[in-house]
Amino acid sequence: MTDFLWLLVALPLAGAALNLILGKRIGEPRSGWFGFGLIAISFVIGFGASLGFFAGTSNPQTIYLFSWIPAVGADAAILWDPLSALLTMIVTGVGALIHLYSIGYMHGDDRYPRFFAFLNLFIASMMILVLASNFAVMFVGWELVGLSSYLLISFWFTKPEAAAAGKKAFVVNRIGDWGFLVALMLIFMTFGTFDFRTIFENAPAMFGVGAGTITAITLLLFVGAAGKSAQIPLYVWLPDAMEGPTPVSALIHAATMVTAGVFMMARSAVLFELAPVSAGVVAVVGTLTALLAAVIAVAQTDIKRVLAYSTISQLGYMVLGIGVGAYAAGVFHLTTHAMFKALLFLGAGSVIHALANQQDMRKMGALRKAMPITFITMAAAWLAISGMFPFSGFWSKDEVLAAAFARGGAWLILYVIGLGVALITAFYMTRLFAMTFLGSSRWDEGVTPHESPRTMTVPLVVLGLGTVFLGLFNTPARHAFEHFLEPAFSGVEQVEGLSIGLISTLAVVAVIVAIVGIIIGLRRYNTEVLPDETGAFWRRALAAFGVDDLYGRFLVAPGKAVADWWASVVDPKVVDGAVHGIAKGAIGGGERARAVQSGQVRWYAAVVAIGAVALVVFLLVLGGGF
Amino acid sequence: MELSDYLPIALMTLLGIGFAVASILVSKLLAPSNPTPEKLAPYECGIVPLQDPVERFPVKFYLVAMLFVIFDVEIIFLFVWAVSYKEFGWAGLGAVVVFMLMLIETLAYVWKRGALEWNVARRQRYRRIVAEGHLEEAA
Amino acid sequence: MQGGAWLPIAFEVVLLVGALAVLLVAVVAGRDRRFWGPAAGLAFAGAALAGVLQWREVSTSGAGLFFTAQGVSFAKSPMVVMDGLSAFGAIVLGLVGFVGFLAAWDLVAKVGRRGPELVSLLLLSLAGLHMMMATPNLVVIFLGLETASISFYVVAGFLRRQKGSAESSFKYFLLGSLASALFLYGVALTFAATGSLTLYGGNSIRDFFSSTIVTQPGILLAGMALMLVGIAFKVSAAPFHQWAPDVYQGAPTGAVGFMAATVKIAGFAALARIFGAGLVSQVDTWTPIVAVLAAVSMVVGTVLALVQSDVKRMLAYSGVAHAGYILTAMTAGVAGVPAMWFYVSTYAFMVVGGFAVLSTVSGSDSSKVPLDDLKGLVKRSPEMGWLMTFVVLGMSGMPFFAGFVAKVFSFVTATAVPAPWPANDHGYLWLVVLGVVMSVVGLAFYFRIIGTMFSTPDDQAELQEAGLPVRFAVIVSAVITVAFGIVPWPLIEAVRDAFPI
Repeated sequence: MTDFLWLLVALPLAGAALNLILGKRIGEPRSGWFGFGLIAISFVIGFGASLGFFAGTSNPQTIYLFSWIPAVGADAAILWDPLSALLTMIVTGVGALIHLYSIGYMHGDDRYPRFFAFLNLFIASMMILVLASNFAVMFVGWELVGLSSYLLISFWFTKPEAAAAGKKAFVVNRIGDWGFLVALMLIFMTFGTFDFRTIFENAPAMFGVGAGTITAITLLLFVGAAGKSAQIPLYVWLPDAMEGPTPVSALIHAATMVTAGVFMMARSAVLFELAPVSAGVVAVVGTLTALLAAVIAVAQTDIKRVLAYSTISQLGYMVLGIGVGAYAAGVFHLTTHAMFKALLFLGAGSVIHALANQQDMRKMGALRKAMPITFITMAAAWLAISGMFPFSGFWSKDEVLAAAFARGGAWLILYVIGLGVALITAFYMTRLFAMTFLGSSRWDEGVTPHESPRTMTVPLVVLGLGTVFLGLFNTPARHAFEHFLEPAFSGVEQVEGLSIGLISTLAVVAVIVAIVGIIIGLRRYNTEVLPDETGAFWRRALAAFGVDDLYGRFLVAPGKAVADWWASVVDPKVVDGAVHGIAKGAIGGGERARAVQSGQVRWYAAVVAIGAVALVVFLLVLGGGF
Repeated sequence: MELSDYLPIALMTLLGIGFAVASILVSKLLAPSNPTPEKLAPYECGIVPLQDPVERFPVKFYLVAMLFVIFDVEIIFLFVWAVSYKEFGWAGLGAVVVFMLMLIETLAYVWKRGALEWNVARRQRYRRIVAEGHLEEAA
Repeated sequence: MQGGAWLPIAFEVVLLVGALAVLLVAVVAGRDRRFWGPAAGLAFAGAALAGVLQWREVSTSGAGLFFTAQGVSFAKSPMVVMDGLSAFGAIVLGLVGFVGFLAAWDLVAKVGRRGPELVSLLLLSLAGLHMMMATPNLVVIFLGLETASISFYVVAGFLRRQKGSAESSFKYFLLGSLASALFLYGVALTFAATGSLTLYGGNSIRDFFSSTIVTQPGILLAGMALMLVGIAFKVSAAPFHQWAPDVYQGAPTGAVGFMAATVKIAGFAALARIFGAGLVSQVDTWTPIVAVLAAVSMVVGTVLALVQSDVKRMLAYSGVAHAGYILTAMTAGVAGVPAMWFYVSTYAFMVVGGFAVLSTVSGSDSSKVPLDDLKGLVKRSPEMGWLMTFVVLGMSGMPFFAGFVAKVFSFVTATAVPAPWPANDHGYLWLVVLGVVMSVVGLAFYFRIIGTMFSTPDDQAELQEAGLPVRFAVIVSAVITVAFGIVPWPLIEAVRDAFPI
């Protein structure tokens, strides 16, 4: 099966190309089914190739495709280990469901085939990133992911907000990319290659724990990861990116793209092990991001923005997991989060669809009867993200927090904050759920909600099943998931497990916290009339504490001023002056030379003859003919 | 390199020019020349032309002439083969057949394209008139 | 001829059969291009496939000489050679021919019932061009050259009712005949000096040089110079380039890409064959000349392109400049063959793609393409506009496009081998410096094209959507331009084996 792995990149790429070229001819529903089919096949290939890892019979391997820049150890090759296998299954599996969902959701859009072309391109980029066997190819995938997410966010580019959001996502991500790029240069200077295996095998021997070079590299890598995975201070693009179509939000901003940063750090686990300072920074930033985003999410009224901030918050948990050295736990949370967050977004999309593009939760409510399937699946996702036993979110979040707890000492502060975030999460998710499905109906007049078509509900159900049962793969009693990932983290010390008794205690605490959050939420929002939320806290939190405004005033405005100055003074006078000077000289010469090109055949023939004679004479002189 | 090495080239050049000049001169000198008005006429028999013969020539003649040349050249190739067809054997026969087939196909194509049609324009006008049912006007 | 020895001439045979089949189908089944079009497409694809098979054969069993005429007085004289050069050339010619044929599809529709003739001419010309690189015999090279040239004279004048087309055809014919005559004269003088017409095999030119010390090389040198003139003319290197702008401008736009691209491929391959391999012992004599031609071409092409107002002429002059860059690679002698291949094979696709876009903008049967026709192209047709942008960026040699890699490869090659004149160890460094300067100057007109495409359109009518084959041709060209700019290594590794024996 591993012989076909290159198809994981090739199929989506082919789909993108064909939909781009022939989309109009393929027509509306068919181009969607076509895109979906290719991704589904990719998933089957990825799943088949992973079977060996499930059974524990295969080892990580590098599959060589062709050489790209061999001088720097950057070949087009696939590193196929449990980590990339897992991400492959998430990206293609969730991706396929989202394709399926989009077939119904995008119905009637003018540029329907193009949407699927972009979705396919995104999957292809993501696969390049995930399957890369070296940093250089990973960076290519990284940039392509940025490009395709830009295309998708601003898919409705006629809407100014969407165009602005796309631009913002692109620019903010560039800052992260800068960090990644500098990290790559450092890596190449240090190790002389980009190849993962070579670097990770040599690094522990070359450097002791806490070496300055490795600390610098890992911190820069984290800057890159913070861009893609929306951590403080680069998280600001993600809420705005909700202007894109909802399937895009689900695919990019919940399940796949934002996990790229976490994936990249997990891939570089060996390096983070060698840099405890960086790991500490990562853990602290992750925790603070989780807290800040959760607080902001509490006050949001737009259903998609709640989910956006909740995504940032959950990404904080994953980053915390990486920071405390519980890589498997971080990746496990990534996996369950991909399931339940995709489900939440698709469910939200279903609701928005039913209410004629209404995204304001204050105008929803009591949708339980009208949309039973959406209601039940969303309920599963709600309980999962709140950390309710035995849903998937409980297991993975608990794992991360337990790892922080196990480190002891100052790490306990992070554990406590994490627990607090869990409480807030349970609260705001209950708020979202109650405002949408329970209480009284506050719909706009003339709106009659209806359940969504089959193509949209099937993905919901599939994701719902995953949300409920996926967590059972990795319980404290049975670490199937960690064993699965073990080959990918060989050479990395995992945090030692705690005793079963202690783990059970932590779990009970977590569940109690979740239940408290849910009860507060239900009491407050499962009512006929919504509580008044116009106080100072609510206003500030709704405006995300003005961080955007701050950035605008202190970073964007000065940057624009410099750019304006450059464009109005430096460019026309200095650069253009030089260019025009050369050009004038060249054009002057050209005008004169043009006279030779008179169009007269006689003259041309004469020139040919003269040239021939000159050549003969030149050769005779040079060759000693005379 | 010495100048004498260019002697063969110079000789060849001289010989070439000399041959051309000589053949014109010789024919001029040796040929008996006692012109009569009849001899100077474009045709020695038939009607005496009333005007200069530099009329416009129908392009169709060139076309036929070209087709003729092609098949003329074909004969040259065939002649070489025919003289020693035994030595060439089956491979030679095959080669010649392929060669002939190419020419035949080309002929078929130009035929179909109307290269052998004489007076295409007039026939087309005739057909049109027939189709429109004004046969009597054609006369 | 031995059994199973068809592979060395498979490329030519496939194209010839294809050309005849197209005519035959057109006669039998009707002139609708749906009938014979697929036959032509199959022939181009089959030719490329033949190239692939040759490549495999060469890489497994090695190169060889074929079709040796027995019992002829000048002993064994092979007529066909199959090696890395000819096999790689077959692949490139086949693919470029296929894409160029697709790009000409709209033109084929416009010429109506004469379509089969146009397409079979293209097929025949491709066969002739490959003959130029797949034979060790100078006379057969000349025959291939003429087969292709005569086909192209007719294609250039295919729209005989247009003044520009007829004029361009006639100019091409007159000047091309002159160049062919000079080439033939060069062949004759070389024969006179060495007593042989064949490059390899028994009693060959190489044999002659290995066994003889030439003390009085005058005739040989004159012969070499004249053969070089003939090739320089075909690849439109200055000062033998003047036909190119006039012919490109006058010929039907839909077919110019095919003509311009394929003739360059074959011309440079023939240069590699005759001079790189055949006259390898004289390398110190001919590389300085090639360097001078390269320098003149780069300067003349770039500077004259700056002042053009017609895009076709601009691309013609840019082609002159590109011929200079490719010749720069060849100053390294036979060591320059890989860089030459990389450059010419990627550039060929850019040319085909560029002219295909022009044919959708100004009409496939147009003669003139003023720069204003491209105004606002990106807005009028984002697809064509962006693809053209990629192609033009590729030509300009921007990093991350194939043209950049090609130029770097070429420049590096030119400085890798010690140069005989002026004698030094760093090769033709002066030429490379000149090349870099000219690349920068050249950016001006490439960006003029791009700038025009991105400007606001006047009230021009919506761009008529091009046919699917033409769009496909443009997309393939752009993709190749970008792909080999980002991932050049596979091609670089392939061209390292594309040597003449």
